[in-house]
Amino acid sequence: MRDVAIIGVGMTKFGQLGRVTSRELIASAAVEAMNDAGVTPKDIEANYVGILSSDFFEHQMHSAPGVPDYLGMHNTPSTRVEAACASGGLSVMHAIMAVAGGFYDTVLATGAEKMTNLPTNHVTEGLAMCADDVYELSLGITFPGAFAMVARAHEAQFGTDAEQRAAVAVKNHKNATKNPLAQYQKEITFEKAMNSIMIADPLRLFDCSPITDGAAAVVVVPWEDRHKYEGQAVKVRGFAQASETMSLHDRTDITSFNTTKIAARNAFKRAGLEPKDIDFAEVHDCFTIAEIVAIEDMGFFKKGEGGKAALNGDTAADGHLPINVSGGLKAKGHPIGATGVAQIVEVSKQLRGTAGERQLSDVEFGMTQNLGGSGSTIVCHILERGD
Amino acid sequence: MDNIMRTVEMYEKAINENKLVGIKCNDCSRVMVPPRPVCRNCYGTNLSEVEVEGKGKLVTWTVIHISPPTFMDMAPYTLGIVELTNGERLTGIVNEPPENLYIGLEVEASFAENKEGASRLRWKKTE
Repeated sequence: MRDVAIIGVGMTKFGQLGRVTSRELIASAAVEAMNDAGVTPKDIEANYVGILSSDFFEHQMHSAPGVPDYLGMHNTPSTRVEAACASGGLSVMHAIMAVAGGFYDTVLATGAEKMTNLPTNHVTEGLAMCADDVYELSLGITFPGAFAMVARAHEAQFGTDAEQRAAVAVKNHKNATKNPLAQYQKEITFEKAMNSIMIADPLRLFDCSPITDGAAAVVVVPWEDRHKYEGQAVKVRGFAQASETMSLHDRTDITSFNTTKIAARNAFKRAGLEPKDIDFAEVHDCFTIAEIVAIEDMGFFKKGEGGKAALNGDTAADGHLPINVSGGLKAKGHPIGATGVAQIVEVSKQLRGTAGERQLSDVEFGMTQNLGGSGSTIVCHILERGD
Repeated sequence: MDNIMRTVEMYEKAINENKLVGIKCNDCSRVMVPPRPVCRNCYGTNLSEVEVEGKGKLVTWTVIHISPPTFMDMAPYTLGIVELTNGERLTGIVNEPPENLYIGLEVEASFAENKEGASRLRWKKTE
């Protein structure tokens, strides 16, 4: 197997983007990533496209060929990857594996979602289709509802209260003020977060990530070839995926996601690293409680300490382990299929030293955790600063 | 007989008759609710339908305010995960005021009228 480099990154503005299709969003992010790498569409040998549901949101199936189509490629293979909210992370992982395995040398991994065409209740239903249709959705489950049940169990066992959850939202909104591509660039107060409308008790509006349009893209090449390209290489040190039951109720412990534990452990093993080696991480804060559970399950904080870490400032941009310095899904926005790719974009920018106003100092290793469903799919990546 | 393992239909038929069923692995004796086509414990496929006791304890719950369109007339409604007496777990709508709920509350299954299949499952406080 070959070592792999991220050689080009691109990302659109995240937000309510009006009349535009996901393939145009992907084309925009992909052109930026290819320009960054110093390649043209002609050089790309394969595409991976992470999209949850252009079917539901845009009345468009078969979205994979739309990407090479709009990039002017001729007959370049393109594969859609769907893993709920982990579609983007899995798109990148498949591109990495294709290069690592020697099948291709120059691969484009993309992800996008165009969500704001539909009203909120319909989006809620579309996302809820990632739960078990027979045993959960037929009873009216929603994703805020599923994570609310996790939050209540976590609070009962560890005392992770509304203030600790709000601390995650306040932190990530503050981080996003320094990200010009973020959907929201406004700080929020604890008071605002803790008094916002109830979505699924105990989760309020500001515990939830927004509905977002956007796309992200990366170009992946063999590490040994990195000097042939213009882009500044970032090394892929580890990656892993784990899958789990569709239904939340089928887990014995709902204060943890076993999939995060397993994917993180396997990514660390592949990288030859430990949690203490990681300088910062982008994790899947679709809900505030999800960030808290993620940083515990990845081994960064003891079980029950994740919420306190946000409240104490440990996970702030100037804390000892910055989490979601991009603003996270919470404030940067969560265009489903784009999210996992955008995490790789952010970690790559930080490791290159090109993250602008939010640049962290002296970072060598960054990690991502991308979650699908109620933790039914997890993808983790570990990246290292290049030479 | 065909060779298709229809575990969802098995569950739906039972729940339409106000019963909860699972599936028992004849190799390792593990009972799974809802039923599934392969044993989670030993990967066995020699499985038999078993009726299970519709009683258990509340593990967690939420009150859903923003719902999918088809549930808007019910919102806000309470959804909970219940651990049955055999250790298996199911999601269901909880017909009990949220202020009366606590983790560990003993509940029993009931079944909504005018609905079919898995969507009928309701939990109520054990009398």
